[in-house]
Amino acid sequence: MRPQRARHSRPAAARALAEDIQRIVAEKAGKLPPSLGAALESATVPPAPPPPPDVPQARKLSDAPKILTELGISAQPVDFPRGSELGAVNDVIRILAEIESRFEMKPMQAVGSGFTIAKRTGGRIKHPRNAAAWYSPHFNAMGWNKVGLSTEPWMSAEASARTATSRQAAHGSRVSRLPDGPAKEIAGRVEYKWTVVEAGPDYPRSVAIHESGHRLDFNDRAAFDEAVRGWNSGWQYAVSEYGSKNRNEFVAESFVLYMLGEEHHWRIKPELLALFKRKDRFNASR
Amino acid sequence: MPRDEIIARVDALLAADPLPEDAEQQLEAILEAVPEGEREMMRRDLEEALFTAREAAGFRGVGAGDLDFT
Repeated sequence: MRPQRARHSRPAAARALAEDIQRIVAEKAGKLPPSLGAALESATVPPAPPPPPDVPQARKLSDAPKILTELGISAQPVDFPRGSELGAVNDVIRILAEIESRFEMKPMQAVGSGFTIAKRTGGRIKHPRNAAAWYSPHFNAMGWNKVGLSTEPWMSAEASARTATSRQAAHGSRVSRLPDGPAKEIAGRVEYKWTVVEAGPDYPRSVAIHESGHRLDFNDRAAFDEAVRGWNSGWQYAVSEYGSKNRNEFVAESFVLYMLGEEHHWRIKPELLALFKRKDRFNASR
Repeated sequence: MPRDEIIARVDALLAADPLPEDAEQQLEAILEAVPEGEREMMRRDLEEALFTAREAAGFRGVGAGDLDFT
């Protein structure tokens, strides 16, 4: 039996309070003349956002499975790959805890080494050993490789600049062929990278968000199918080259943009952004 | 192989429905043509994309049962 998570009561309470306030304001506003009613609704002070979850710091790699199970993020304790960067693992735990507190999803069975999780499924998960990380909806598990927990650059600064230049040129030519409209206008303004975050100190955190994007998607596939309709009509070029590969990666990469903060939201397909916001307790309580 | 052609081949592979049985081997062959600097970065993500595409193909609802694990 999974332990009940006390911290879940805070976002739920905050959301209930926000809904109560919105209902009361809407009732009052409805009894006023239209202009005054609209003024009352727009002047309502939003309640405070839910507090961030309390996340203990792993002092050594072997602390991570216990922390993840105690926070209710992973039902089973699974070690992270040997030799992973401890700081990266702590970043991953922190962002997974934040996502857990903000979005309603079925709790995961396992988070940790992809190799170990795949072994525990008796080989039913075919572990992709070079992938940074993966999410399996069948087993509701998130597997990690060491490469997903590395903050090292993937290529030299010169090679990186060369690749960026050729990618941006190809991007410009693709965007120029799009029909006029918001997708073309937005795609034309982005610095088009391979992934939203390619490497560096934010990389492990971004991988955790990306995999959580798959998790969120698979937890409500019908709603996401609806929100991404027309994703490849130009919106894919507003996200990242990897996000343009197919519908699944488009959702996951868009979720990275969403979680990085409001200053990146302009790049997300509007229907998908609206869905992320609807599902986000943090947003709903503001 | 020019970059555009590599990307077009990756896109075609990931868009195949159903994914070919040997998609992972086909991906590896495409990656061989990617300049060395970028190859590992693409591999780390494209292996994930194939994994997710396979999971999506047989998707019947998010699992929750402990019985799934041995």
